[in-house]
Amino acid sequence: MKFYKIFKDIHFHTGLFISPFILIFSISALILNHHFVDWQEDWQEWYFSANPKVDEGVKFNFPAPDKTDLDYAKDILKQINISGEIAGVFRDSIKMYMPVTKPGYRISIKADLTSGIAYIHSEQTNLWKKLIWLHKMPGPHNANIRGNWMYTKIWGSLVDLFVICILFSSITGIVLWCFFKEERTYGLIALFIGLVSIVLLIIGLKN
Amino acid sequence: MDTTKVKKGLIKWSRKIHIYLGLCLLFFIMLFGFSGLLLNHHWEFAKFWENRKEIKYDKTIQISGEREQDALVHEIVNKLDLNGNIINPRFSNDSILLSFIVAKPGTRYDIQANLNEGEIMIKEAKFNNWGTMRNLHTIRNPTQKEQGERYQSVLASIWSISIDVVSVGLIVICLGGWYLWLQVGRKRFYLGLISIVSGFVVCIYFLLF
Repeated sequence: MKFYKIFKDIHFHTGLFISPFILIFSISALILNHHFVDWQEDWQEWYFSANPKVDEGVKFNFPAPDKTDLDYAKDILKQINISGEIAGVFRDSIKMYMPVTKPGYRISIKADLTSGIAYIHSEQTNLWKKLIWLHKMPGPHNANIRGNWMYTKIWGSLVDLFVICILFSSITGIVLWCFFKEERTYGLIALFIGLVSIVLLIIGLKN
Repeated sequence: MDTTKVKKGLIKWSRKIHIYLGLCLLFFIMLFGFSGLLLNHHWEFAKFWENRKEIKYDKTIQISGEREQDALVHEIVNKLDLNGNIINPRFSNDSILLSFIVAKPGTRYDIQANLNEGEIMIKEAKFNNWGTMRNLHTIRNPTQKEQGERYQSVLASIWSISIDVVSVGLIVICLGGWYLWLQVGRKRFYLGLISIVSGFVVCIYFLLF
């Protein structure tokens, strides 16, 4: 019975702790799957080309030339007082374009490498896009530069913790279910339905 | 109506739904959880693109005089007996070549069809199980913008529905869990409050940052 109580407590606390994360990931999964919100918008144009709109131009000192593109971009961002995840760095001898994202914002920065002025354009997004940002970060793309903002790194670690907790919560849930004699038959049926569905779907999708 | 009876019934059913739904979705939750980890990390053992097995071959098929993109793509896919989502069909400038991708979890076919000769060049890439898991995590319905650029197979649509079921199911499990938490004794309630508030504080901080 002591064993049961320990598992019950672990399941109870991990479950409650991860419940807000579950809401974030479940709601954003529904949005990603159904496009209630046009989350893709014009991301390709935004990502690959400097936005002609400019909110302000801020002067910066040229960083040391031996820096990598990412460090060069980080240095400029620090000087112009903008924080966020650098989504890409496109640099030639006269200009540097950096699309920057953070939950609720996407910022286009075009740094003129001859005059030392960074032209900034910032767009605010909504709550749904914030949820999608959180769902997809850090993610598989741009692996060589992804996680260049402390916030993204911390969020990435929290997501790992969330997954470990949800797996742990699932295992403790199974252990607890084993203690409930009256729920065993229907529980086994539910488990079987889930297993058969996923196996059949994966086999079907793969072939 | 006896409120105690109603309350007891609610507790009983919340508990049952929490257990059965959790068990039914268990394998989906594990798959999406683990594949989420794979997507967020670039572990050496789970590399799939670098470890793909690629083969190239040609086939010749009879292509009808149809020149409408959607119909042509489906005709070629059917004649090649391929299954999967059709992505990014494109005509060459002179409209003689039609290229597109057919993708399903674990496999991707890059197709280039010569519409005059009926010759099809196929590049087939097979991925390992880690690649398959990543593919399963990212299957979704095409967006409005992708209409005409992406066609979902029937099974992929069913898989998308299962993503909805898992998402809604998890929300129901959460709500049921919260209701059951509200019914526990005072001491457990306050301990639970610490856990749920810590989760909410972290999430709200990141949402409002």
